[in-house]
Amino acid sequence: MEDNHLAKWLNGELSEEEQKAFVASADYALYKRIAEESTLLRAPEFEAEEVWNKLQEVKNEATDEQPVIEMDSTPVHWMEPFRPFLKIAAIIVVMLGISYVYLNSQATSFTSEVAQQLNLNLPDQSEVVLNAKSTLSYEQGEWEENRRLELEGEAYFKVAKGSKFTVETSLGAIAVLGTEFNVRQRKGLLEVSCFEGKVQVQQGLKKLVLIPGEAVQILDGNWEEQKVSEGAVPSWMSKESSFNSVPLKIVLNELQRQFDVDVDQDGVDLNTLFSGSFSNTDLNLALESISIPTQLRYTRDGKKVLFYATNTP
Amino acid sequence: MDHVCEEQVYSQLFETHSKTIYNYIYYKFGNSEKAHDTVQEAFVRLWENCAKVQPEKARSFLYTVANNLYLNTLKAEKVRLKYADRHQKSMTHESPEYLMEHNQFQEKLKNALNALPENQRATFLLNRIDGKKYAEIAEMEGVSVKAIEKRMHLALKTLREQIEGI
Repeated sequence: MEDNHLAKWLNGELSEEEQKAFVASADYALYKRIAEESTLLRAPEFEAEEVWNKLQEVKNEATDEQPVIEMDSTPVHWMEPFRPFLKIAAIIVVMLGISYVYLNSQATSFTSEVAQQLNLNLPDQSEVVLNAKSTLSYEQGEWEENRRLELEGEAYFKVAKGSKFTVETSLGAIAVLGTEFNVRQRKGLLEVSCFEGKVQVQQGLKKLVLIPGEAVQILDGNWEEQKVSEGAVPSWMSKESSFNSVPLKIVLNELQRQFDVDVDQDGVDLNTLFSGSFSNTDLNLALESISIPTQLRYTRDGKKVLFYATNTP
Repeated sequence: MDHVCEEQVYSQLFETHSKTIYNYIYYKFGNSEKAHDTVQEAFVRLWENCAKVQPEKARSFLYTVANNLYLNTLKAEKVRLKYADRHQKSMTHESPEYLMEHNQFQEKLKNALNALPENQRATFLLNRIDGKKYAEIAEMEGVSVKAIEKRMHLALKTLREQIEGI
């Protein structure tokens, strides 16, 4: 057999004899399996629409750069009688212009309260669910050319396909194409989980692209890659708050977001890492879920909850 | 006469070739973002030169540009391939033992693919996943059909050895 027989075999170019000999060989079964299995692999999805739209932008810019035709420079004088009228007209035009710009640059903003979830539809039909005590805002006027949002808190995004879509938080920016993802921003903590599509997380100069099933937790500047279930939704949307190695103080703050309670502590190490989840609907259950794994005790008096260490007298 | 500057011809070229160029660059370098950028840049160059490029030469023009773009800049990363959906579904009724063995094999195959030299990986996957003929891959890579056959042969041989060895 000549040296390229595997290539010939894949292409159905082996002679009958060669084919027989090859099928009889010990390695044939494995070669066949590799050849078949490999056809089922796929590269990450190609965002054709996105690239095509960008191309249109580049092409349009190129057309705009045509040389400017020089105007005839003969000066033009307005006739005197129109002067006062023109001045007023000019002022009105300017004022209209200002109010237009003003109205358009007004930020649209949504805020959810304690223990509340908010379903929102953005102008491009992207869907957002805000978790408790979170704020989302964007500039209405700029939306068309610049889908940019500011988020404080936590939200789940289901982004309609189209141009770039950016979520900015005080701790970093998340840039996406059509996709589904969750952003949790807390004091010193940024968590982004990707459920569908592709998400780019950026903090300072550092960037990371997430694919479905991947999540990243940035805790005080430390990046840790984590896993989520692909195609799932964040747990808080099914009324549960979940944490993966998160300082206890963030967990207790979350409790205050989800329930109308004041949480206090005595002798508790708030930097202890907590992994687990608690119910967002049943406070007693939630308190148990937090206190048992951390070996803390708690007392509850109406809206006041006090956590204390087991060994505290 | 058809002309690349004409919107219809241009968009047709995009539809026909953009995904293959993307896959080609991805198979080589494993960076989806860069692969997107490369497609975009190649088509920008095509637009800028649309008056000079004959439609039948457009394909090799695109591949030449794409090749030149990454040649000096990109470094190979891990290629993250997924299995096509239909495959996953057909698997659901199999026994756990079969599934486990199957998953292990898929994992080994992915690892072995990652260990291949990028030229061999791109050639092999363009043929297996995208069904590209050796002649077409030869045109993309700017080498002879014989060279592509050699790569295919070596790729498959190496994959088999890797998988058996693990």
